[in-house]
Amino acid sequence: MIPEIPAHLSIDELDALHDGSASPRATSHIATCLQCTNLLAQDRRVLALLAALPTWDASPRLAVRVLAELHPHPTLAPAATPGSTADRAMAARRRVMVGGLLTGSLVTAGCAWAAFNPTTAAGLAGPIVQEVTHALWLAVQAVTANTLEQPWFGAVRDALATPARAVPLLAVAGLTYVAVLIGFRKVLSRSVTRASW
Amino acid sequence: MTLPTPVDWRMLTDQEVVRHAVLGREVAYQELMRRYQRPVFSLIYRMVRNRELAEDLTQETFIKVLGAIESYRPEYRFSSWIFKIANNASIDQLRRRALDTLSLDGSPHAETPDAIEATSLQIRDATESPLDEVANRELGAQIEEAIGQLRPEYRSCILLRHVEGRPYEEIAEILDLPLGTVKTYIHRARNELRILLADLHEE
Repeated sequence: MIPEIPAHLSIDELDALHDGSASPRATSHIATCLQCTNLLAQDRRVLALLAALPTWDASPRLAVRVLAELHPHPTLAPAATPGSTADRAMAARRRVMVGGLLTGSLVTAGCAWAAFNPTTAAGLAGPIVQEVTHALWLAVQAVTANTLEQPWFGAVRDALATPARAVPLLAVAGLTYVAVLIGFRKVLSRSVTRASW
Repeated sequence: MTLPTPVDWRMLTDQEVVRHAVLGREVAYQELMRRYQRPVFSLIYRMVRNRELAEDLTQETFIKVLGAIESYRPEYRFSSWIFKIANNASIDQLRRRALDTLSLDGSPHAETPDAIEATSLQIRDATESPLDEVANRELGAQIEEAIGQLRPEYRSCILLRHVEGRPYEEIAEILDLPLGTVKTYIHRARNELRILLADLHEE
């Protein structure tokens, strides 16, 4: 008959051995199982190394910054340090403003140039406008033809035939659209970092 | 007429300090920050491995917690609440940025020796000799490196359990995980650390 091999230590039994509250089974098992004895020794070493790790100190100004943010007060407000969040936000705002000014200046300059050179501007823009208009008209035609060929088009046309039928239907559709839009906005703005339980 | 006795903040429980904070007492805010600044910063720093970022996230965590102090539910531990927010902030950050650069040697953005020193993980004890200091610094660096190689969820679990000393039940509360899952994660993390630190065992 083959002797039954006792099961190795479970997570709880291993923890109990670390705490000094091991069950008699765990104690007797560890006395006979070389594998678990080695595991326990290595585990103890890892735990000792982890326990010896230092804790880190944040900057002494952190508390001042937090309190200033919570209770804005001139005497508590810290001077902005290079690379702080406030600095970065200000730099981002500055970049947006510079970008906006640059774009605005370019558009204004373009309009001014076109006003003083109408013939050249029309000569340059004419073919482009013509091409774009033609492409748009083709797109409208395609969408219309495609819609008219749809099997559901007849039913929709009948449903919208009289204002008495069309108004409630359009109202429901509009409300559904708004609800979906709000729902999406809420889902997308959600973050796992939140202060509530 | 008797004067009100001054509050001995150190003797109060977290829940009692929070009650004062809800009333808007700034000293209570300061006391909560004094209690949790180091552990929260340490946890975040070890999660994101960048000092500047850890400072920002710690600040964000305290502003969230103290700004919403009225919504704290006293049936839970205050530590669970603050660690939960700190851990979520770190995980959010790790998702946004793949921070695979080890910052033991300082932030990759640090350009001057002072900045490198300021942004590196400091592993030092004032009482040790220069030789011990070098050895301990190397040892500490290897452990930090090994922790940094763990999956973020294992890292949270192992840091909360074996560095911060939080009980399993509280970790389950912090991470919104079943107790069994927390135990399994910690066990697996320890297994991985045993393998990663095998060289140290043999020395």
